[in-house]
Parts: sequence; structure tokens; C-alpha cells
Amino acid sequence: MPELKICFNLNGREVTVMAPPDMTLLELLREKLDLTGTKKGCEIGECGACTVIINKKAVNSCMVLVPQVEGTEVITVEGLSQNGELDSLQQSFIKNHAIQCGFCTPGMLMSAKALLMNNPNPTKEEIKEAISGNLCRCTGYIQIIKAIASASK
Amino acid sequence: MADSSITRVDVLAKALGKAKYTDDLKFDNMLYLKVVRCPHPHARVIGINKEKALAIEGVVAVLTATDIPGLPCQPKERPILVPEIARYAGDGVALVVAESPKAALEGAEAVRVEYELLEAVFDPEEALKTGAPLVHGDNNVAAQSKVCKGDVEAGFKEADLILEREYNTHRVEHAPIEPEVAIAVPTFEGITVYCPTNSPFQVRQIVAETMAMPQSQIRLFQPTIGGSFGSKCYDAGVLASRAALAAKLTGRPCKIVYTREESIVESTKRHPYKMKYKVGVKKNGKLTAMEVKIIGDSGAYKSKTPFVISRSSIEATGPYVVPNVHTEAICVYTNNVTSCAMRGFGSPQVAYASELLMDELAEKLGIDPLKFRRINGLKDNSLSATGQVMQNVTLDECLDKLEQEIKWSSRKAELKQQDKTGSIVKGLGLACMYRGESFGSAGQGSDYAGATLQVQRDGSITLYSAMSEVGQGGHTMLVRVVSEVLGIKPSRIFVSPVDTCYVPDSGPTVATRGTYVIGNAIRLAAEEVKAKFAEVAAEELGVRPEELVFKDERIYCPGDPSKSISFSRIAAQCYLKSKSPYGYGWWSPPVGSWDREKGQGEAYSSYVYGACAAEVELDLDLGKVEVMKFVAVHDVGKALDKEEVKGQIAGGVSMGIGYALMEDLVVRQGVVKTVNFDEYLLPTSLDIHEIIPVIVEQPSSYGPLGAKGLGEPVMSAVAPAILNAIADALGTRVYDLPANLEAVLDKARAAKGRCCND
Amino acid sequence: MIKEYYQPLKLAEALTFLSVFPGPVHILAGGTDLLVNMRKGQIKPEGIVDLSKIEELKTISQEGDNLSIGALVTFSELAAHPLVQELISVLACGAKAVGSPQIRNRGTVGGNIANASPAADLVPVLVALDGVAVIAKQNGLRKVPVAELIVGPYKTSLEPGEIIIRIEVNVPPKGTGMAYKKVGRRNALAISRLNGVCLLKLEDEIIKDVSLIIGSATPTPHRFTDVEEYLVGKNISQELLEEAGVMAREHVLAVTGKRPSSNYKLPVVERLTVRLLQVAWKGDKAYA
Ligand SMILES: Cc1cc2nc3c(=O)[nH]c(=O)nc-3n(C[C@H](O)[C@H](O)[C@H](O)COP(=O)(O)OP(=O)(O)OC[C@H]3O[C@@H](n4cnc5c(N)ncnc54)[C@H](O)[C@@H]3O)c2cc1C
Ligand code: FES
Ligand code: FES
Repeated sequence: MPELKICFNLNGREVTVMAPPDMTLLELLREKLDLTGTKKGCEIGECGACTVIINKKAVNSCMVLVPQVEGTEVITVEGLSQNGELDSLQQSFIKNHAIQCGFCTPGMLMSAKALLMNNPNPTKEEIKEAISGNLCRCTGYIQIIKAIASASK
Repeated sequence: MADSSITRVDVLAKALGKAKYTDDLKFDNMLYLKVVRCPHPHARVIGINKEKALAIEGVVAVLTATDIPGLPCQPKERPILVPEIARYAGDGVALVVAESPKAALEGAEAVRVEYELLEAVFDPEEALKTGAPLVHGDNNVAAQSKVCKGDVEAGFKEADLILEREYNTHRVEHAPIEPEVAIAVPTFEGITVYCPTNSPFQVRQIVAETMAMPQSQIRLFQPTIGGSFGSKCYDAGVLASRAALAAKLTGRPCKIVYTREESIVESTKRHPYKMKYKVGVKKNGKLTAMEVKIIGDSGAYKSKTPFVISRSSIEATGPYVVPNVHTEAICVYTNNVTSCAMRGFGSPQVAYASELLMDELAEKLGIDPLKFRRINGLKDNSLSATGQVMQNVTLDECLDKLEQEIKWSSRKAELKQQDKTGSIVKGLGLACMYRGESFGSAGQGSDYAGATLQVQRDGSITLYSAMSEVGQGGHTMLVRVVSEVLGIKPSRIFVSPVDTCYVPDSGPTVATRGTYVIGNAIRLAAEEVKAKFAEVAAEELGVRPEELVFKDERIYCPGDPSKSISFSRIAAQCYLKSKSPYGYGWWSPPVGSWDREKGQGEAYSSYVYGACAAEVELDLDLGKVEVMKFVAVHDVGKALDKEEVKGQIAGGVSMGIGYALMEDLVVRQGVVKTVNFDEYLLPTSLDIHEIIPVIVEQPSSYGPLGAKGLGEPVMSAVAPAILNAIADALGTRVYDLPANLEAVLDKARAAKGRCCND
Repeated sequence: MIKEYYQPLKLAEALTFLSVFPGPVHILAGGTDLLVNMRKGQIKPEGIVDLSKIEELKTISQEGDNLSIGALVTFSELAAHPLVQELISVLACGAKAVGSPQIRNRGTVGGNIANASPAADLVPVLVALDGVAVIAKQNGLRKVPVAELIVGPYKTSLEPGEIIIRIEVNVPPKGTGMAYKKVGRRNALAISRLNGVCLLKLEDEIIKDVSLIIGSATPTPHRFTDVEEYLVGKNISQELLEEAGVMAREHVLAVTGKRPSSNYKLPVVERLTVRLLQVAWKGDKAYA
């Protein structure tokens, strides 16, 4: 099948892309749009490295076909900082030592961002729940949880 | 003293999503590779039919072992592509090169390989029997190691109690979230390889051997690494060589990136061990003798097995004084997936067994388990199992802190009072660990590091080292050392990416040697710069170089504040006066004497110690274990950055929780069954409850600024502390890992007097 | 190779497309099962009908004694919906037990049924509530109990061209005790080793009505009617619950026979049954 034309809002800008319908949003971002901040770790929805925000909700971009984002608002890690200003979560991740190898970081940030968009003052349990779909092999999560909590204050 | 919290040099790019990992790189005209793997555990390749694959649009070439200009591999090592015999279900047989990942995949599915199936062997004990199918050589022995001290028979005679136990540890996966990847770009002079590896020089060597090219013509560049835990060494060499081969033959950049499934099927794992312990103890709790037999599964190839097994045999008794020791460890080839280095490197398995053993001995003698460790624990001037006189032993300090933090006696007493009639019971357990730093005299290979500093005209500094930043903060550690020695701001220092063209060969960033060995090399380099700068400054200021102090970006004479000059000014002066602004450091740890026959001598020049406690909650109806609280006390020498250290500890604890409870790389008849993260289960944020890292600081006489390595020790005591806590809750023991739902339920029911089959 | 990707805004358009498309066509809802299966190469669709933009399939409403749940409602939406929380909290428990936040934000109620995994987490709740799937086709509707729609592991009686449009479940009478439990190897992103749901209506300590399912224990989820019948009319007591546990275990053994997993599953089925009943009876949080 020929490529489809898809229009959506990406990090605050309207974009129009041509993509085959069986392409995932993850592939679109990484391969076609050169937004390589979003990571690939499993391609089956289990690791969360590919997490982006669609319409204020955290989703695995490997579990979304490109045509499904038609008309939606998508935010990736590249859209977090505004005009060169780090998002408070990014600052907090840095300050609280929540980043080691960093491969899970973009996905973690997006899950955390989605949480704070809908719940600006989450409890520790809500934070743990919100990142339960993001595997981190390096940190043991403790400092990530702390970072999110301190960004929400 | 050190500003305890400087921002890590690598994290801003990571937080912005701008750090470039290898798979994020693109090159014009790039081709994509897919590996055709042997699905059988043991087979001879009879023929490879490429025709169908080559007919697919976009497929450029199908490469096999005959295309390799150099060596497919060293003897008994995993080949880049199998020349004749595939030894595990995952060995690469052919390589499809195509214009797109999709075409490469279709091509790989279209390659037809004809195999003659060979008899395979999967159980290490079976593999040792005469007449067993041979994987390598004439007896399948991959490596052996011994430690013999005193007379165990005499020791057992002295004992009031003798206990014999068997422990089995399972195969687990490193599972960094970034899968393996490499890109090779042909250049006029040679080949540049981009590859996330913590062993850049080993990978370069493998590529050079594969390509029959001089090492100097292979340029290995290390992009940002998405975690390793020991996995990105030989495995990375195989990928890098495959990419290099394709790049050389096609003249185009080639990328090879594994799916998670390919990664798990092909990559190396932690060695599974079967360990038989016989131990003698007196009524007063003193150990008299220990006999240990370890048999490990090396899998299909040798890799780091000899070094892993030698460390295991040295550390098999745990950090205890045992007058008579006889340890025999053997690793055996099978047709299973290969075992290699993984965080802890032979320590976690024996720490697991010896700590369960100590706990059970204490229980049998009616001695508090923590007290029992104190009775037998190494102290300064104790003789280790290898006959080494131990110094700077901090086990007691670790136990002190542990005791305080978890309130050992009162918590134990409280838990004794708990109502155990319901479904939920709690338990408290502990475990100790010790671990030799770096490679050691027992021979994990020669141990050295070089590092270079170049002060630029403006006083900014470029730092060249082979330290791999795998997430542990290694680069920041180097910056800290330099900043401390030269009295300058960390922001002045730029860490060059690891590029084998520029950085000195320093061996791999493994064995907890990064801080220890490379840290020392950079310290020496900084001291050289300091000495040179002091000369120039002394001349400028009209004082003697010895009088000068480097602090707060200045070089000055403490006695006379007017005699002061800025660091950057001296940098400029060096260039003006044609003086060298370079510093070069080369360091290797002291090597002790080592008797390989008996396994006696100074195994390692220094050791780290730790003590951990776990409080678990068990659901007896479901067999489910939650680690509610984990206290991990580690001697880190000097914590250069306390929060970073805590992060390392928490990461090790979470990996240990996975090892203890849920991770399990299932292999049946040589075929890996748990090939992605839906079946190979890593702990999630909801599986980690409270982790309390506690730091003991006993400055090392060898480490830079007194720091000791930390990455690996933090794994070792986790699983045994958890299993001991489970035993405390249940009143009966699980001996084999993992303590999953089934294993725990089984014991819980047995403890209640219900047989598992009723 | 996908030849046609169709993204209708109306149900009727979807049904028409399904009725005319010649090759193997697959319905796409949240995609959390479909994309995994496509990647594994287990299915190779030539046509895809993407229901994700059909708003009429995303509503939750109360209709008399029934709650009607649109097939395209996601787990997150279900768990957060005020009507669900107020009337049938156990549905929210089942929805929250699924995977991870990301999966719950995509995965749908209809997809959970149509996928028919024996380990599905929401399906047992729907069955326990006597949920009925409303299925649309080009020329009409049919209603089938969810328990009958699922005919085997990963098998439904859905026919080509059919779409589940909503599920109607009974709103349990006020005062019904409810319990849900999932047993997995970890606390998120876990495939259920077992799960279970129980609804219990008591009157003066006499069991008036009970609905009990242990899921992931049998090839298809179904109410344990033998256990339920035994319980109804009896005076509730701990001993009675223990008996129910043993019966549930016998029930599973009778359905599956002895299997390698039985060593673990059978004793847990027994304890899970007792605990679900306890929670539904006393709201005993310790076991929830
Ligand atoms: C990482 C991960 C974790 C998961 N964890 C869990 C878990 O814990 N518990 C659990 O129960 N499930 C889990 N799942 C499975 C999955 O999320 C659920 O089964 C979900 O309900 C599927 O819904 P969907 O909308 O994504 O279905 P889709 O993938 O869109 O569709 C699934 C199947 O149903 C068909 N279908 C979908 N909607 C309809 C309809 N309205 N009418 C007819 N046919 C339809 C499709 O054609 C397809 O065959 C998990 C999946 C992933 C990837
Ligand atoms: S890559 Fe999407 S969840 Fe792992
Ligand atoms: S920081 Fe490495 S995976 Fe999270």
C-alpha cells in the first residue's frame, strides 16, 4: 500500500508526514523525523523506553501505528524543554542523580510528565505506579522516584 | 575537600534526549545487517544456499565464514560466523547485508542452511562423563581452579557439627535496556567502528583479527552506552566484527542492531553454578574446615570463564576465617548459550552459597546470625582462604552500621513475636560479602591503565582515557580527581569520548577496576601537570615549586598571599615558554605472589567489604515475596559523591532482587525460551520498596583519593540476604535460585506439613 | 503486506468496509495485542480497520440495571470512570491490574475480550458480572454472553465482519461485596499466573447470591457454578469458605486435569478462593 499522509501536532508544531500504515510511531520518530531521543528497547510494550505522550497520556510509541496519531498531540523528550529552558523534571532528574546510563531516561521523563500533567501533586505510590511501565536496569528507581517527587513540589 | 555533589558530565545530554547512542547515528548510504543463526544446539553446516536471499530486492550480499579475511575467532571462542560447527542455538552462520532493515530481515529468512545435527549436551555433569558429546577439546573442561589451605580432614575431625549442603544458582541475563549494536564505516585508511562496549581495546583486537588488519587501522569510537553490566565485551566484539566485515566488503557504512529477542538468544549470560559445601564448626561457632566443589556451566565457548571461576574459588568461603579449606571449581563446556562476565563476576554465586551456609550454621548452633558472622569474620591480620594476611578489613564496621540501621536485635525480637498463623509472615535476614578489587594476581590478565591530560592555552583541559561511561559516573569520577589535584573547577575539564585513536589502552572497564586503576592513572597524569605547572609558576612568582599550593583556580604560596597566579595564566605561559602542558599517567596495581597449583598467595592487593539485611514479607498462600526493606552497607573507601554512590548501590540491590526472585533465563534442550521482556522479568518500580544505602568510608591506600570500586560488590550480598530472610519467615530454606512463586509456595506448604502434591 | 488501512469515524463505515474487503482483514483497537502479534509475524493482515477514531464506541453509560461499556473504552478510562467506581468498583480493580499505565492507556475492553487470552485480567470480571457482548455486523446486531463468546484459548466465536461494540454488565445490587486479586511474578507488567473475582450478596449472614471465577486457571474463564450453588442459601462462615476453596480446586482439576503447572496452581486456587470470599464478605483489606 502506498504511504499515507498523516497530520498531527508534534512538540507544539503541526506536522504532516508520509508513512506506510504498518510503521510504528517509534520508527517514524527515530527513522523519519530524526527524533532519536525516544529509545527502542523491546518493541513489545514491556520496557517503556519508547514512551511518549499522546493527548496528555503516556503511551508506548512501539505500540502505536502511525495513522493512529492522526489529529493528536504528541510530545517526545525533545519537546520537554521550552526555549532552551529545561523542564523542571529534567532539572530534577539531574539534581537527584536519577540518570545513570540514561537509556531509560527519555521514557521515564515522559511517564513522569504525563503524571504531573494530570496530577500535579502525586503521592509516592502514584509516582511508583506511573513509572511501573518503564524498566530501569541501572538505578533501582529510588532516585528517579525522588526526582519526580521533588519536581512536583 | 571534594565538593560532594558536582553535576555529572554526561547527564545533561541524556536528560535532553540529545545523547547519541549508537543506534541514533546515521551515515549516508548505510546498509543494514541481519544474522542468520543456527537454530540447533549442535550442528555441522553442510551447505548454505544464498540464492533466494540474493534475489530479494534490496539484498546486497550474503556473507559467510569463507568471506572472513582473518580469523573467525581464537580457539574455543565464539566465531564471528561459524566456519563449520555451530555449538549453540544462536551461533551466527551467515550475514545478510541489505539496503533496509526490512530487506535484511526478509533476506535472512530466505537463506537456506543445511545442517547435519550433532549430539548435544546440556548438563555440565553429563558433559564431564566419558563418552559425552564433545563441545571442545577432548574432555569439555573449560577451566579449573583450586584453593587449598591446611588439612580439611583434620579440620572436620575438630568440628562439633558438620553440615553438607548443595546450592544451585541459575542463568540470568545482563539486560541493559540498550540492546547490542554496532556501525562500521570504511575509511581510506581502515575502518571506524561505532560500538557501545566497555572493552574498546578488546573489541578492536577482535575486529583486527577478523579483518587481518593492524589494530592501529581499526578505530573504535564509543558513543553513549546504554548500560552493560559486563555484557558489552565479547558480544560487542562479535557485532563490531560483523559490521566491519560487511563494511569492508561492500565499501559502505553498515549497521547491525539487535532486537531484544536476538540479544537474549545470542548474548552471553551469568554462569549457572552447582555448589556443594561441606563445613565443620565448633560449638563456640568457630569454623574449622570447609570443602567446596563448584561445577559451572560455561556454555558453548570459553570467554571469561577461567577468570570467573578463579575468582569464585578464591572467594568461596566468604569473608571468614577458615583454617582449613579445600575448594575445587570447574567450568564445563555444554551446548548452551555462552556464559561470560556479568556484574559481580563469579562473586554472587559463591556469596549466595556461603551466606546461606553461615545462616544455617548459626541457626543450628543457636547463635544469632549476625554474631556468628562476627565470630568468624575476617579482621586485620586474619589469614584469608588463600593464606593472605588481610589488611584494612572493614567487615566489622559494616556489620556495626548494619546493626544500627536495621536495629537488628530489637527488630529480630519483634518479628519473633509476630502472629504466624495467618497468610502473611515477615522475616529478617542478612548476608556479608567481600570482593577482591580489580583483576588480581590470580590472573584475570595483566592490569594497567594509561591516561592523558592536555591543558589548552586557555586553561581548559582535555582528558583522554579509556574509561567507559556505562552509566556508573566514571567520567565524572575522573573529572573530580583532576579537579581535586589541580585545584580547578570541574567545568574546566572536558572528557574526550573514548576513541582508540587517541586514548591510551587501559584494558576494559570491568572488574570494578575503573575507579581503581584508571582513576590512579589520571591522578598520576594530573600530578605530572601539577609538577610542570609548579615549575613555571615558581619561576613567575620567584618562589620554590614545593612552596606552591593549587587551589580555587589559583597557584599560590600560602605563606605569602601576594605570590599568587591563576591556573589559566600558567597554562598560557607554558605555551609561550614552549613548556609541555601535557600530563601522562600509567598505573598498574601491585601484584602479589600467587601459587596457582594450590591457590595460595596474595590473590588481590585490596578488598572491599559489605553487609546487607533484607526484611521480607511473604504471602504463604501465593508464594509471593516482597522485599519491604533492604539495607546495604558498603565500604566504598572514600565516597567521592555520596548520592552517586547511593545510586550505584540501589541499582545493584534492584538487580539482586531480580536475581533472587524473578529473573530466570530459561533454556530447554539448548534453546532459550525467555526471549523478550515479557518473559524475562526485570523488577519494576512496584517491586522495589525501601532501599537504604549506607556508606562506610575507610580510605583505600591504593584508590585515587581513597575511593574504592563499587559497581560489582553491590550485587553480591543481595540474593543471600533475601533468601535468609525468607528462611527466617518460613522456618525452612529455599536452596536454589530463583525463589520464585513456585519454589516459595512449595516450601511454605511443606513447612505447614502439606505435601506439594496433595 | 498491508494493502488497505481504513480509519472510519462511524461504526457503519467500519462494518461496510469489513463486509466488502476481500483479503484477511484485522480490527485494530488499542493495538496492544495486534501489534505484538504482527511483529512476531503471527498475523499478516492485508487490511486493517482502525476503530480508534470511532467516538460512539467509547462511552460508558447506565441503562437501568445495566452498565454499558463501549468496546473502545480503554482500561484507564474504565478505571477512572465515576459510574464504574460508584457502582462496580471491581471493574476498576480488574482494569488497573492490567500491564502498565502505558498499556492501560491504549488497551481496550473489546480487545481484551476479542483477544481471548486465558490470562486476561478484565475478562473474568466481565464474566462474573454476566457481561453480554453486543456484536454488530453489516446487517444487524447480536448479543452473546462474554462467557460464550470466548470458546477457547485465543478463540472466540466472532465471525468475519463482526465488531464488538459494547458490553453490558449487571450492576450488582447495593451492598454486594466485591473482591479482585491478580497473582503475578511481579507487581506490574505481569502475565497473570492466576486471577480471581468474587461478588457476594449476603442477607443476615445467609448467602443470597455469589459469583466466583478463578481466571488463568482454565482454558476459558467461566463462573464456578458448582461452587456457587453449594454456597447459596448457606450461612456464611470461615469453614464454609474453606470448603468452597477445596471445591474450586477440584473444579479446576476436573477441567484441566493434572498439568506441570498444577503443583503451583491448584493449592493457590484454593487459597485464592477463600481469600476472595473473605474480602467480599468482610472487606478484609489485608488480602486484597
Ligand atoms: C506490555 C503488555 C502488557 C499487557 N498486560 C496485560 C495484562 O496485564 N492483562 C491483560 O489482560 N492483558 C494484558 N495485555 C494484553 C492487551 O493489552 C489486552 O488484551 C488489551 O485488552 C487488548 O486490547 P487492544 O485494544 O489493545 O486490542 P488490539 O490489539 O487492538 O486487538 C486485539 C484483538 O482483538 C480484536 N479486536 C479488538 N477490538 C475489537 C472489537 N471491538 N471487536 C472485535 N474484535 C476486536 C483485534 O482484531 C485483535 O485481534 C498486555 C499487552 C502488552 C503489550
Ligand atoms: S520499545 Fe516500546 S516498550 Fe520497549
Ligand atoms: S539509567 Fe540505565 S536503564 Fe535507567
